[in-house]
Amino acid sequence: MVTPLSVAVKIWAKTIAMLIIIGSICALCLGVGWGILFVGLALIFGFFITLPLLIGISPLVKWSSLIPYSKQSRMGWLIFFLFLFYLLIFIGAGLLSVGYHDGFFGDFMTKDGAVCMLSIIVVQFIAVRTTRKSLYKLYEQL
Amino acid sequence: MNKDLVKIILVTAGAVLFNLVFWNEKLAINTVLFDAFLLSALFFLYPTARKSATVNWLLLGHLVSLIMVVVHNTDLSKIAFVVTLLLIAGFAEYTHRSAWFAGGSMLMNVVMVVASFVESIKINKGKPAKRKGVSRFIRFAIFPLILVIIFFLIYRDANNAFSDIAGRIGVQLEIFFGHFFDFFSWQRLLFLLLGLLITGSILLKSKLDYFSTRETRMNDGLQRSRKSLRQKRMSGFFQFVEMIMGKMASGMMALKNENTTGIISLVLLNVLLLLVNCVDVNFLWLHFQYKPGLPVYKMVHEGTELLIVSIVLAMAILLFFFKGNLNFYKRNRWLKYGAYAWIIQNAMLVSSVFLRDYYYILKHGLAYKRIGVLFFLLMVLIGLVTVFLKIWSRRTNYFLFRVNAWAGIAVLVLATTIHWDEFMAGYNLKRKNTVDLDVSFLLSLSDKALPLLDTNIVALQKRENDARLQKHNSQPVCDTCFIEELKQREIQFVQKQKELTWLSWNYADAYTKKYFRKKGLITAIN
Repeated sequence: MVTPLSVAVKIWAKTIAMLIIIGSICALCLGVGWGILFVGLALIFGFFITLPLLIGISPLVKWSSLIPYSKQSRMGWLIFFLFLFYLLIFIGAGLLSVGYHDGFFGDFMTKDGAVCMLSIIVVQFIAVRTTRKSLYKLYEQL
Repeated sequence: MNKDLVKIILVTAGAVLFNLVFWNEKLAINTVLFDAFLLSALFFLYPTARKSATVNWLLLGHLVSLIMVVVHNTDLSKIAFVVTLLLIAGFAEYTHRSAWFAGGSMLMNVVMVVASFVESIKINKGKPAKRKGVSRFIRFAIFPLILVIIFFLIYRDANNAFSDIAGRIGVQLEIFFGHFFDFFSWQRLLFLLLGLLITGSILLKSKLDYFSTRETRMNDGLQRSRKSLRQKRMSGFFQFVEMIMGKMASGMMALKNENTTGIISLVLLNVLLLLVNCVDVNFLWLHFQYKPGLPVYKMVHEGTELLIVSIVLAMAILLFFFKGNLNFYKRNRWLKYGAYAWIIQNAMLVSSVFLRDYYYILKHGLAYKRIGVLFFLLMVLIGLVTVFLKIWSRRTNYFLFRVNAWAGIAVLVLATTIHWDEFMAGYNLKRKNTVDLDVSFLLSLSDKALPLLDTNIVALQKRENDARLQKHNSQPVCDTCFIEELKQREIQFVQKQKELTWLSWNYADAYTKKYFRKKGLITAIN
């Protein structure tokens, strides 16, 4: 039996794993000393810290199964809304750490900001696409 | 050609056009190009829409807003342009009578745009190609690739000679990718996606027609309906009323009791409002005088917001009493008279608020909020008239909101025909000897007001300096501040214009540019 939560867990785990791998490679490229430490810490705490994200991912998976579209279209919808979800989290985190007046929104139109947003889309695409079997099973079930 | 294929082609073409005409530009003449494409595509995809009178009226409003975007280039004209465009799409794609429901359908389009786009692609895909091989290759490659990267990095740091070779290759790759990414803009790719979303939201009809199905059940005319007590008790509001009124809200005489409560409430409210109106007529309408020493905002401005809230609340009270079967109650004559009196008195209150605003404008000149109040009062007046119509001819709340939404759209479109910043600057400067001018506010107005300010700035600065000298009996700290500020605005304007191309051409900017080109630098103080 596939549930929205079980599918959400798979998508979440893949997303975090991918982000940890990308982060680790970047950290290793920048400097080995703390890079290894970063990989270790990310593996231990990464999943633990991001666990609350499931509160947002699970309903999105459920809603994607309720819209009257084909499986592929529902999957496309889910990828887009997961991207928006992560984007909102990034904006929220940015507002908390940088503050509105320091031009956080302006940063999104910089090269780094655009690369960051496109990376989220690619990571989400891979995470959802590789979970499509469970996702389709869920769509057939509901 | 397959309609879904056409949709994909049109949405993609729209996104490319959006990218070409709006990248690093402002909404101006480029809007005409994009709008022409969007409207042509919309009427091509939904040809029956051209026959709809609503769409044609909206099209007229939309064209007025579009012209105003090119002529005045104000934020208001841009808002009106977007609103009318979305409504045209809403009415072209779905069956609607109300702008609210059409707006809801467009919201659904926005939410479902990705699903609608993928759906069109999916329908057009032929037989699936053999991709299993590619997929298998990717799956086999991922893990080894990660291992190779990690071990490469470890060996690089462990072996100096290997690190040297790797470093040289790395530098070459960095140069290559540096050139590649300089040519290829990530921001522009993201902008293309935004264009895809915008064009898709307008052209692709969502499969969810929740709002149009809901609207088909709505009527303008109120119909008498019998509701059982159990059905009534389902609503939280009824439970609240029952808590206060007890059995009087649910017994056999419930309607009569509701009528009596309504009459008592309206009589008391009318008496209270009559007192307020009498005071206003005496002090504001007949014997108004600016009292020396007392700030004008204390006399007239304070409380304006509260009065506006009270008028809106008054309409809500009437909607509450005339929400259901009380409209059909035989002995509701006095309730109706009370409601009409309440509407007339509220219209008087609108006039009093208008007078307050007028006196404030006379003393301090025009400003955004003061003009906003005028528009709000106009909308409230239309609201009161429609509430009267609703009670008089037993109309539904749906009718009320529908008519008011159309009135709102008409007012919005008409409001775009005036460049308010220029109008405010012109009005205030023309009365600079009678009005307390806020020069800092005038200097914050949009670029179109700059020529007007430039012709008056020397006089304004002198006036300000003299006023300060008289008031504080001291020399001002900075006696050319306003002139410097205006100079800065001019420099900013010129710099901004340099970054834009012909795609951002609009009459307002062209006018200011022409003025400064003719005049040269801003006059220095003598």
